[in-house]
Amino acid sequence: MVECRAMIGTPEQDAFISRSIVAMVGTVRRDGGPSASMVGIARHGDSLLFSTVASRVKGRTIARDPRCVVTIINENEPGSFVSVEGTVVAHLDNAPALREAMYSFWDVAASVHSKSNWHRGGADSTRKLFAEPGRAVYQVTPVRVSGWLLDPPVEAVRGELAP
Amino acid sequence: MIGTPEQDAFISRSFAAIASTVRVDGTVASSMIFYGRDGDRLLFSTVQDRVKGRTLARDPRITLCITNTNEPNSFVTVQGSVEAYLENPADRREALYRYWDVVANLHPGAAWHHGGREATEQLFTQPGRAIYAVTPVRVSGELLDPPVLLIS
Repeated sequence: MVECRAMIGTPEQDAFISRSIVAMVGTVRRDGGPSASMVGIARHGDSLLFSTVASRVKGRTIARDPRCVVTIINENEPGSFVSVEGTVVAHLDNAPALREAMYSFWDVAASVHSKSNWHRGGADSTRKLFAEPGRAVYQVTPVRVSGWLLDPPVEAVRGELAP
Repeated sequence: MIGTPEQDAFISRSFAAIASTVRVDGTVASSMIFYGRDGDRLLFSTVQDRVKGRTLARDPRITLCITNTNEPNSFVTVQGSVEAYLENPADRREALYRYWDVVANLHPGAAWHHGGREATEQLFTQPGRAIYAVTPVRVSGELLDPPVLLIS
């Protein structure tokens, strides 16, 4: 697991966030309705990072209303989730240092996700994709954390986490 | 049919989703639900006076991001509108159980395998429980996983 000094939620929620790489990002549409889609998520200290295209739905809704919710899931632990509500800052310069922070996180965390694109050798294609024009890095500062963690993690107990 | 044939098939082999609803302050609240497909509607059970139930009583708009542990890089988003069955009808609960009886076989780690119908019925008949039915309005998503062997 990635060592992190800072804390986002409870120790258990923090540990879950540190071993997970996928989340659903929920944002507010112009009409007030909820919009949601999947992203690769990376923990960076006590903030969360993801990449998207600034002109797509997520980018446009965030530009209008920076309130978002990041619900982290983990295919090794079906039924568990941690929901992080917070405010998001768009790094429209596509922050190279933050992108590197995402890659460093996934280099470690994706090792227990044998089906993930990153683990399957998609690291280079992810780097290429995230460097494309129009891409931006989004950084979420947590405000409220909730969720449900099944204890103990089912697959971890079976010893099936290692690829 | 919900969405494209590929999206429709993904929905029919999955049962977990992140449900997003609108809080009174306009922000989005999200949590995990287990759904069952009932024709072109998606059913789930929750407690009326919890966040999902309270937010839906005020604003029936909901977005379900459907996820599948067998295909962790794929998702289908169903935006829709919810109808609440506050009387918690037994035939809607039965529709959920029938769906999970089939779909859980594709998910070896599913909670349905531990306790199944009896344990779930006990939970879903507790006071305050209700059934919610989502009618899809807009469907999107990405199916990025290569075809996988679902049952090893």
